[in-house]
Amino acid sequence: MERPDNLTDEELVLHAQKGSEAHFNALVDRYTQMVYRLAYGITGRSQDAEDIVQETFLKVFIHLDRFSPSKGTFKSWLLTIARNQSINVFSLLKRNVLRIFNEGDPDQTSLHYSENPLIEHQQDVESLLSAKQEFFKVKQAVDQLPERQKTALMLKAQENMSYEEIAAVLKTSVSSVESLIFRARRRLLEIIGK
Amino acid sequence: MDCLDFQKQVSLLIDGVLSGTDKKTLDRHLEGCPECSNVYRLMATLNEQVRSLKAPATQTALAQKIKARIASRNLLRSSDPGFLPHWARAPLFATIILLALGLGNFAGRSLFEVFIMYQPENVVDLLVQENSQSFGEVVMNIGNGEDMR
Repeated sequence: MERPDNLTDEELVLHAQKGSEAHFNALVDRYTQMVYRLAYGITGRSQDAEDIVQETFLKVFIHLDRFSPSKGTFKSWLLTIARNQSINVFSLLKRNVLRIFNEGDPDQTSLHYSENPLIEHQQDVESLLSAKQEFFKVKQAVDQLPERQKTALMLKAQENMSYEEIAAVLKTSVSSVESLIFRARRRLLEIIGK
Repeated sequence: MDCLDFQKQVSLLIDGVLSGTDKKTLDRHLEGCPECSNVYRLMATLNEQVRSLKAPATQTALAQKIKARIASRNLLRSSDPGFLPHWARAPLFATIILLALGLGNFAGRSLFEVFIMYQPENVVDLLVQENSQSFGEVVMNIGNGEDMR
């Protein structure tokens, strides 16, 4: 039998739909990080993001028979579910409360300074400090974007998804995705003050 | 096309989806327009910064946790004796209801009594046995003072 790693998403789903747990697990391995990044991007909290990842895969497992490749790619279907879960968790009320608590709290992002390549390569202290401030500024600006603009921009910039795939996740047209990403970039430049 | 239209195209250029004539036209505009050229530079830098805003790495245990939950769910499902496909559940439910109704009608009698020894009793005979009157007499005596005693 061919190894699950060598199969496409849709082939893995087909096997999983017939009851193969190993093939479903291969999908879990393939997409856990991506779903986590999306959930974290929307909620801004790692614990919430981890819960969302678990709930998303459970939901996908339960409703796997509803997936059909003729309706779109597995990746788009999975990220649509993850996005809906994230929005449910991160209600407007929560977001406002978090924003109040996070203002002026740079520690929240300090955990992944060390993993950031733009910061890692700064040699002297002054450059490092400046890069950290810039990183924090950009992060705060991204957090202020409307959810659809933020999700569209993140899926493009971080996951390098095509406009068509992003359109499927957001249930919109390709031209709307182009517009969402452009508006997100313009808004970021305004917030950052450039 | 005005500068706003070109800036929309700048966004497409950054995402690598602009090519051919559109790209050449934009390149020419960027050479002669400092404002759009500046927007291009800023958006390209910003894109790199957004790309670098990746979430902290998840615990390696997260995927294992998910697999464990899936496995326990699968185990529960396969060991459930009542597990049936959706299409079989409605007829099964209907059969159970019909059986319950049918068995309720036996009213404490065995199947043998119901189907073999069953002899229908005459309602009128029952009345006669109870009151020592025929059905006709009972009807005729309605409203009669004697009957009330």
